[in-house]
Amino acid sequence: MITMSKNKTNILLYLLLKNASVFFISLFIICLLLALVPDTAIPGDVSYFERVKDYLTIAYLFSYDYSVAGTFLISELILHGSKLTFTLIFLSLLIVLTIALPAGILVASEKNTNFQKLFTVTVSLLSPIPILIWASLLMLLVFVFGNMVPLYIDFEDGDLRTRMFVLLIPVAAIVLGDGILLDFYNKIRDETRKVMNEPWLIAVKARGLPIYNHVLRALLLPIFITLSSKITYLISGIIIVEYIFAWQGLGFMIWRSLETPGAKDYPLILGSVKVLLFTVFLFSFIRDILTYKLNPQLMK
Amino acid sequence: MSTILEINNLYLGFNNSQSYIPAIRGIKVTLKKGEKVGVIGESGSGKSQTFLSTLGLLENNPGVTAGEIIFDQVNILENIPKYKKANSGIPEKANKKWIRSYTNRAKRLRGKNISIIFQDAKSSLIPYKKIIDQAWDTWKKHNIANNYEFQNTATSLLADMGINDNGKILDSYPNQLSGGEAQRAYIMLALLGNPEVLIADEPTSSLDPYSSRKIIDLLVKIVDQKGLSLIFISHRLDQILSSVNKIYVFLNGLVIEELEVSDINDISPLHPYTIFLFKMANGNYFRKLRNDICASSIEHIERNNYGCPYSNVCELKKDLDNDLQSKCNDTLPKQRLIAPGQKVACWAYEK
Amino acid sequence: MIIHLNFRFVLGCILLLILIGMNVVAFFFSSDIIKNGTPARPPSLYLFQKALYHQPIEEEAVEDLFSFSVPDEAEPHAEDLIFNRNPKRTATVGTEYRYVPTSQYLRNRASFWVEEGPRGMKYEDGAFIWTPDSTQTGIFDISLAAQMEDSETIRGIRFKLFSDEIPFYFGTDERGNSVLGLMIAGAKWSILPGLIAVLIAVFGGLFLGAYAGYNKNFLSNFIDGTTLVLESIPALLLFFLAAVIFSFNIYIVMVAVGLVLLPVNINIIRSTVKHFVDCQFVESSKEIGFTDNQILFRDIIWYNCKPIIISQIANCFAFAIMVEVTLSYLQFGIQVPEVSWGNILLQGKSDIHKGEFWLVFFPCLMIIMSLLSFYLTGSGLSRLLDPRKN
Repeated sequence: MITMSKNKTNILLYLLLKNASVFFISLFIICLLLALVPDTAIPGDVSYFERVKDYLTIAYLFSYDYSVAGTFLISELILHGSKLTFTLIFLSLLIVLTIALPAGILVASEKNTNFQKLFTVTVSLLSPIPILIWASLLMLLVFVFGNMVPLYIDFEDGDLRTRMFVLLIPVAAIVLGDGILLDFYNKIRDETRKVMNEPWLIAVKARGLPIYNHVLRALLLPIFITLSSKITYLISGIIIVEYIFAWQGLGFMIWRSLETPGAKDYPLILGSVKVLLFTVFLFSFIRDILTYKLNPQLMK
Repeated sequence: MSTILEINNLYLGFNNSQSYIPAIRGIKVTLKKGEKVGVIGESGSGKSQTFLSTLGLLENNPGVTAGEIIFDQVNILENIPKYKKANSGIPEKANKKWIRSYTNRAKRLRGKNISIIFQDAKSSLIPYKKIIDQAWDTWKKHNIANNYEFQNTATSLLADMGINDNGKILDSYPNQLSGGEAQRAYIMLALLGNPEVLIADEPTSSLDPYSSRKIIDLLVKIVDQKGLSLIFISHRLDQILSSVNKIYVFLNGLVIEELEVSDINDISPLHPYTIFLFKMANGNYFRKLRNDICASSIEHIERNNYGCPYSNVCELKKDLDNDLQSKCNDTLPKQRLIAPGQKVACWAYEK
Repeated sequence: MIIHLNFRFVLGCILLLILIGMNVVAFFFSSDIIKNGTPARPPSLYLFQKALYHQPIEEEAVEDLFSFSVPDEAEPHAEDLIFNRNPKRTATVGTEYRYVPTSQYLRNRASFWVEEGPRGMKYEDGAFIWTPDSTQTGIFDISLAAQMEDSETIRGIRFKLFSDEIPFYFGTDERGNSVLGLMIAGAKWSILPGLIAVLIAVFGGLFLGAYAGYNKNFLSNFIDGTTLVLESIPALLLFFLAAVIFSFNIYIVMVAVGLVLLPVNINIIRSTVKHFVDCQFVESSKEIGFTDNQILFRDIIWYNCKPIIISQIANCFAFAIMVEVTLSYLQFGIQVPEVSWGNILLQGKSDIHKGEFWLVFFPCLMIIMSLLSFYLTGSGLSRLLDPRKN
């Protein structure tokens, strides 16, 4: 399937087409499934195909303005929601990187210290616990020992300090849960070990030059690949993460629209799904480009 | 001529929680300024490890447990903590603070005073950078950053090695070069810091015989031209016999013989293993060497932690009396001066 | 072959056996497990109650109606508290309830009595004791009082005491259902629905991945393409839609779970097969006369992929449990008359501010235990069977 043609623009175009077609086909499948959802507000004589056609036009042609549920513009709602959603996701991934990167490099450089064993055991014990459970336990702990429950409402109009406080538990739950920290840490540690054993790095050392910029450069691709796969993972679980903390992001809006038994807000659902799918598309496209460009074997 | 590098009584070993496995057991190597030295031995006899330890590149695996490494009157292994019975087995936990200070001292020598050339040049070069960029990084570290002088030096080094169209080499990535070109490029990188000692760790083992010959010849030419000292590690005696002044023979972590080979017609190796190596190198030429004590085969040499590693197949041992034979089995022999320019580590030659 | 068992494997097996036992109990005794008692009763183990009521109990100065003295302190300092131990809040019919209010030193210098309490509660010999009989079940408001021998003020504490016929070790929820029973009843959604997902994901992945890796025709490219598409649809959205479309039938949702887990398995098996299919022994086996299927399944997959398949089975089971809990928590999975751990977590979340932690803590514990059982068993077993490490 992948014919390695030597033409550079050819490969970029191929990757773009591949990812874009995945985007459009997923959107299509979601429209198909959405039309199957039982909705008591739709009159009985509307056939399945008409519903599918309706949703397809909404999804591909941007032909909606106002949300069904109120007087808000769809674009405003989605903008607001995506700001919140992506704050959460990117902040947690940033914190995961700041913990895992130094820890992984440090652990790979020295062998068998006590710190390494302690850190590895702690992280692998904490990792199988999913985000939902971490969130519940953290809220419980904060209530028991701090006697308060940080509510999302404070986030909107609070200053930086209240915002940080409200963000603390969601970000902590995401960082600790579902093996995200463990995957990053393992990947960084394994790749650093692999690079440290390469003959050319030993030769660089033998010439007296510093090795850390070479190590970091070799880590760039694996970190980005893990990052994109974790972003995909977090986006597919975004609904539950936002629901636990009542975080009014895209996932919460999707949940609320699907929960109402009557008329569901299809433009909102499709808009949110489009934004999420586009993020996934963007990251996997950049990942494919970087794999092609930074792959050590594919150097001309 | 003054001594520039001296390794005295060096012990290296693998020190894990269960046991201590010795790798190098008390060797003595002396290198004078401008001298060319060859190091011969099988794979696993510890030749590379000895010289990597002068630059601290071993990552404590094996770790240095005793001895002195003196470069230019400075002992890198200063204040080495005393290990209990470093040559026979009681393990002691490695002292991290000393290891760090030893590595720091060794780091100052890397590239500037001692340079190493490795076996496979193509995989010793950074794969994603052009040769000229790598050379510039190395130049910047050891000299004042001056582009004009850098270009001059690089071009003249490559010209010395017989490459006149150096744009082709300098502007390409390592995987575009052939084996011989890559090795020349790496030699240029190693010489950019103006070192005093050049260690060549089996540089021709992955090259064809013609390229090997050329690389050895140009190494000798450059070393003589610049007045450097050369340590040439190899497992093929025939390749280096005509190029070096002195040969050290390693066996299982021990230097069993050290002899000067300036005049090929006037060599008389004393240790059976050395005689075997010479006959393997050129059986016709060395047929006059002592056949009676030449090793018949080296397959059955066992690694012996306490005594002479050659003792279980030794032909000389049979002529000795019993207490001397048991000394062969229990105690490590030391390098002793037997004849001018020749040292052997063998109890049979003790007087 | 297996010389010594892994610690992980043994621990995982123990937890898995506990889970299977809970499943069996839940299936056979479905309606009898959940016992009923007083609503919102804390767990009977004193350890859990200490965690709940961790501050010293609020002691107040009580005005004694029959004396004319005025309380001389508005709020007593911590060092002056007479009642310096927290009372246990639960009692069982037939067993003695015992509360020692203070340390030995103060016990002799103060007098205690029961101000307001159930019939039969008295202060005797340094402790308040009471043995509830079978008619005394429910929530009792207790008020105990004490007076130091050299002071005129009377101090007292008030609390609620729960009394029931069965000792509810894990407490009860808002309607009085025993949390232990709820946990066991919720366990029935942990293994069986996961089985469907695992069968689709692992075995489908095995055959499709092997085919895609071994052959290079149009069908294998088609499988690659569908893998890409399935990977990029947000999984939870797919489960949602499946749940809503098929009116919350958990088994159909598990089919969707299997479909979502399929790409991962296909990728793993396909990459392993591709790695080996170019090796020399494949050509030689073909020349000897083995068929393609024999080479593929016997040599490549059976030898190399056993540990992968086992750990994937465990991961898929664990993923299925998590999906079921998540959907029930979002009210899209198991609906309310049926019990699931996610449902109870949802109930418990709104009660945290009242201090009733046991509705959140025990479901979390159960979920972690069931996930760990699958993870440990899977990774322990795959380590044991890995032909390279042995």
